[in-house]
Amino acid sequence: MADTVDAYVARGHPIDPPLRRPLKIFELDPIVSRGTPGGLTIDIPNEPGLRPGPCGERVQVVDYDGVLRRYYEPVDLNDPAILIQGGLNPVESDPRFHQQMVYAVTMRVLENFDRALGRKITFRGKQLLLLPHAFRGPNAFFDPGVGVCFGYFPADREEPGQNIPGQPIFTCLSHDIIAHEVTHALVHRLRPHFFERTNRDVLAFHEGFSDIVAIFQHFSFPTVLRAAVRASRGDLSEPNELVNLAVQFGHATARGGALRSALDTPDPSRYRRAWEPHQRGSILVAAVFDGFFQTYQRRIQDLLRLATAGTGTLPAGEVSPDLVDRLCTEAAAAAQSVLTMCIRAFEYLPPVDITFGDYLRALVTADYDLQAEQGAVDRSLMIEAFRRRGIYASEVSSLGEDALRWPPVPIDTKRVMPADLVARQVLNEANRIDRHARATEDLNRAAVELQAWAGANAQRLRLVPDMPVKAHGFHATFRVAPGGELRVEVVAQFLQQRAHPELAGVVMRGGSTVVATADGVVRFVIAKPLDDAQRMERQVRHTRALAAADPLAAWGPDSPGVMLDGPVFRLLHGGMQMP
Amino acid sequence: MNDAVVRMYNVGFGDAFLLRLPTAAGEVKVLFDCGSHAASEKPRPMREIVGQVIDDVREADGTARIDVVVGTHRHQDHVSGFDDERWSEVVVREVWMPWTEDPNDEEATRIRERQSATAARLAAALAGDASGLLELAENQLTNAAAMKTLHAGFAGSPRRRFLPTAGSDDLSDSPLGPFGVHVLGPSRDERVIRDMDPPVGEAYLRMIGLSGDGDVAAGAPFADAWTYTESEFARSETWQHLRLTGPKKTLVHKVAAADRLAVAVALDKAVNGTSLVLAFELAGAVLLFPADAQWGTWDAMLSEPSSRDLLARTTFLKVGHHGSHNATPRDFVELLEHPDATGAGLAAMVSTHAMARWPKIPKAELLQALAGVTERVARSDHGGEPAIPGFEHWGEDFIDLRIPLSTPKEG
Repeated sequence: MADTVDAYVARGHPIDPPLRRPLKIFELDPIVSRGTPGGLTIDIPNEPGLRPGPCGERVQVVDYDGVLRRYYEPVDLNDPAILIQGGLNPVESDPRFHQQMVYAVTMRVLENFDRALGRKITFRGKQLLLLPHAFRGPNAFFDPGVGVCFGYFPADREEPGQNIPGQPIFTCLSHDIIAHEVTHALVHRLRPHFFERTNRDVLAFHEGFSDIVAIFQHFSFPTVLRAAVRASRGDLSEPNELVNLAVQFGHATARGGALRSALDTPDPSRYRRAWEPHQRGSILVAAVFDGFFQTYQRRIQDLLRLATAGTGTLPAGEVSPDLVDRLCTEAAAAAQSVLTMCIRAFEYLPPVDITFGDYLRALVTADYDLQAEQGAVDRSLMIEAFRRRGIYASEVSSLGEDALRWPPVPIDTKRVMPADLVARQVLNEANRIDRHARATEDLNRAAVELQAWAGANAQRLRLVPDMPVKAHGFHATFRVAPGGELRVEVVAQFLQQRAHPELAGVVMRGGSTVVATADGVVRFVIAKPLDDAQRMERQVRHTRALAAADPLAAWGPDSPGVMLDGPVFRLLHGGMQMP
Repeated sequence: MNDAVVRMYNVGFGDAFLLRLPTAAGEVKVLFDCGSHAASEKPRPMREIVGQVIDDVREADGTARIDVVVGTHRHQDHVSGFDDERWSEVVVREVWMPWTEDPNDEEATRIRERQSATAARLAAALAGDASGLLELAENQLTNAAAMKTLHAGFAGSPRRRFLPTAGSDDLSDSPLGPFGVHVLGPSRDERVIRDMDPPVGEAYLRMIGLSGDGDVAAGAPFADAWTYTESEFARSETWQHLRLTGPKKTLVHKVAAADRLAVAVALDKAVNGTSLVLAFELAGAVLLFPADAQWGTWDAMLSEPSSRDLLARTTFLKVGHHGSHNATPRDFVELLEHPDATGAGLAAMVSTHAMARWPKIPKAELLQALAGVTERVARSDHGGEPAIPGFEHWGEDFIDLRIPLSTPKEG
């Protein structure tokens, strides 16, 4: 007893480490942020063991310049001088602020994924490497072998937009560019074969999805949201900062405005024509935002009627600040629920060869599974927004929600994952979420057991029998339904591959995503079977068309372009003309 | 003599082909290019090779004569040999170049100037670069002395033609009048022209740090106080976990250079896109010289039914761009008719030199596919190895191919 008292006298009672860490970032980017010189404070999960860099459990910021071959001084976010002011203030001239912003935005993206997926997403025990000043050039990449590389460059001298001609522009100071590239990394983590150009939608999905995450995060920044709601008098479907992507970058590269926007004029023929991944991806972005706007409009109708004595039409002039506040609350809530819905769909995506139609089906299934009743109207609005842009699910006969949802497989006592394997994984995943987690189980052992099970049940899982099966990803997810009940599910991906007999060196892939209940009963088998001759033929036709359009791809797969895009995901195509 | 003979000189990484065609009025000599890449190893100095070419065209009276010199495009590896004073003694009747070389064509001048300006800036900015980019960039430089020979040199005041002309090409008054001469490229089609434009403007080069004009592009982004060399950084104990090492660091360097590489490659492609593509049709034979034509030109040729039909009947192919993957479309090789029982069928020549720097030139898959069409594929750098049957001469310095013909009709 006396020992303990002595200890406290010496050091005081320990204070629990805080759950959240406040950090400052530019409000979207240095141009948009001009109205708020102090920047924007966001809070992210506090990592108690954070080291200089910042270097945390899942991400590592290394400020190494690959061109000059120099390091820039790393920031120590646990320095009391920084802690006491809630993070460094936004300054373009201090690299340590750049590192802080990259770290903060990355953590925010990770948190959005964790929340939506109902588990803690990791990089298989490694850290995602982020290089805020990796190279010179108006671009940023995610390269699976390296990590996220941000470029810096002088603004265009003739047409700098709102920048000073020639001033240094840092892509790592753009919330949108950081969020876009980090999302590429996360998509790659969840579906490593989505960088293979097996059909026109695959890379476009990568790009579109990355833009969706970047733009939806805008709604969680109160000052940006409030300004937009006030200026647009609540009509968020008008052009505004919320729906613009990378404003400073767009100006600096002589585009005269934002790099991309979530708004479009729906035109089904664009989906038939567009090839370039960013352009095609923007159709997906516009569809999701259309769905969001409809949801938001629906949710604020009662507020507008209350505020206008029942007419629903706002009088001319400034909108009452109280109403602006309430509209902001609704917009932020609707945006968060759509973003969560978009990410949650991942667990219901096939492991390879995704199409926008597959994504729509996954979106609808995932949301229905969690909130069948409550989400019905919003889902139908989303389906309609996709339809207006010519995106359907090819195998589905109607656009009714029940037709769009992945069909659940009949309960089959033989189609049950080994119970102890499932139980161990559920425990394992639960431990990881817990802050006081114990060491996690050896996942390799689980993978071996899982592969054996899948091999023995190949036909039931729509895999090709008597061929090797690889398990990629095996997770338990925890979600809370609107009624308050905890939903625990287990999701596994299985992959098969074989060399194409004619296209030398081209590997054809198939596989299934299997969703099971907490006791291992399989509910969904979302498959792209390797023995689907029609799909393979489509893929071959697509590969040939790509090769014809891209001379670099003419002779063999070791030249970039046939199936792989580098594989580097860029903010844009480097200013190069692409076929 | 009823045979045509193609001589491929071993210039290392480059092109020099001498074609002799029989006519009733005597032999017609056509020289396609004469150049080698500065970075390429060569079996002998370029000066010696040029000496041999000139000797090879020397006639009984002691005068060297060439009927048509074709300068397919202004890349160093195709024209460097023309930077030699001895050409002033060679009597040439005509010089053919792509329309993009026409000094009186506004569009051509614009394309040339943009290509040269970009190349010059790229090469200047890359000075001292050891990754191979500099060599790629230097190949694009104006090669002014060599181009001067083509534009204003040679004895005999040769007529210059820039092909294809905007109208239809009437070459009946040329030394090759007796033959069917097809000018297949470079097209004046808007899409093909777009491919010839350098991919990026000055602003972009500055943004990727490739303009040495002393503005922020060339400088460091932060004050020195924030900046540490690798060894300085290594000294800090608290930053050890942030040090990049091994393959990861190499990868970062590679990614950092990616945009520069993309510019250099795209510019290379743009200049190759100006390649003059010629096919000669003579009694039963089609001789195709596509220079370094790229996809845009090939696409235009393959989509036009009449030229597609002509390409299918090719009996001699000068393989484009030293056998690289981007200058011979798969579609074209699949189109080639396989030899029938009577004809000798296709023969092909690849002027190339394996360089560690560009391991994919020549492209193995392309050579294999050609081997599936014909056994007669000669590589200039395999001249010292056991001969492939069907070639008239198989030597380390040059390889000859004899193509049997019936004498073409007059006029």
